[in-house]
Amino acid sequence: MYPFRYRTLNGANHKNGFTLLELVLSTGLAELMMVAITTSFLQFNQHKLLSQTLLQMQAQSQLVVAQVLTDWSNICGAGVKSGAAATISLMRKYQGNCMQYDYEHNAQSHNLTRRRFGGRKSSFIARVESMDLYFGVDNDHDCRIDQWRRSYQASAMVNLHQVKVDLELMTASSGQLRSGGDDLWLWRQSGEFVIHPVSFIWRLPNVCS
Amino acid sequence: MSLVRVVGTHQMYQKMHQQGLSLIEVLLSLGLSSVMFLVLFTAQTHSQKVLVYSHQLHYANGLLGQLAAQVWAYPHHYQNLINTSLTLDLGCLKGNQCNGADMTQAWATHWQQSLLHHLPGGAFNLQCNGACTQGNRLTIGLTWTQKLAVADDKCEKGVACIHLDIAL
Repeated sequence: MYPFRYRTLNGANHKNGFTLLELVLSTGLAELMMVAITTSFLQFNQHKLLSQTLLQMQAQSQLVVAQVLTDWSNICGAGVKSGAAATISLMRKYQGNCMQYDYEHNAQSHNLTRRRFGGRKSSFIARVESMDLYFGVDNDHDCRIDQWRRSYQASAMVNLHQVKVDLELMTASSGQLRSGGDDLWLWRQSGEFVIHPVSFIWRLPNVCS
Repeated sequence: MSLVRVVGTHQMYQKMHQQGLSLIEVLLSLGLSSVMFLVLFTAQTHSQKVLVYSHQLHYANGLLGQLAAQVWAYPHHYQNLINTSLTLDLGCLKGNQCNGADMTQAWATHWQQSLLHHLPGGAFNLQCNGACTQGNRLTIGLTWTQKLAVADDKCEKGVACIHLDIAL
């Protein structure tokens, strides 16, 4: 017989196999290890999905803001002609000419469309769940915004200073995040998309400057 | 070392281990596995915290951009934009016609509500280099509690801060 420190956990010392205690202990130990490994893998996967989604959300929102601001940066002539909650018409340069462009949110196809005067609508930004525009106007010509309106029509009575753009963007993500009981985000019912809001303010150039 | 001696040592090793793993070996390998899992878990937890911090920075940048737009819009009332002592209804931002003071106060209330949701202990601050007059520089800052933030010349450890300079 080996001294205690050399005794082993296998059944060689027991002519009739493992004892009940050894069996219970090894099963428990194996179970613990399996739980630890499974939890680690699940957490790792969850973390990977979360990182991917967050990065996509950030990249998407930055790109969308940059795209809209760049497109609206070279306005000309009368500037913004009119606007409502989800549409805006403005004059901007196109090949040296001042042309009217209409931007509109299409709720069916979930995108932002752009149409040059006399042309066809084309998709400008994809995966936009909703768009809300607010028009910061100056009614008394003191060069201060005194009202935020839901609609705007260019006239000599009011000056448009800023447009606040509230967008809800859709970012593709795995449904596994949703099943994880994560209620941080709003999900679109019909697909595996996370809805995230993006707000920015467009300051019109050359107003009271 | 002679061949006979090597074979002998090998046989001795086999004899010692023919009964399976000893308790100390099992315990040691279990301990090692636990340490490895602990390291993995700690690394992942830290990575998640960094992710949250990055998301906060992204949000804070957007907010600061909006604040800057209102500073330009209200050069005489921009101090109100960070005044959270008064709480105003948000009617000024929803169609009501308001004066500059009320409008800036409405923006402050609007942002304060948003800050509470996204940035723990979030607060704006405004500072001019000298007098807040034309020709000087205004610095808009945003700070919030974030354990991962390191100390720099403007912020202490545990407080994240970003700032934007505007020419008045």
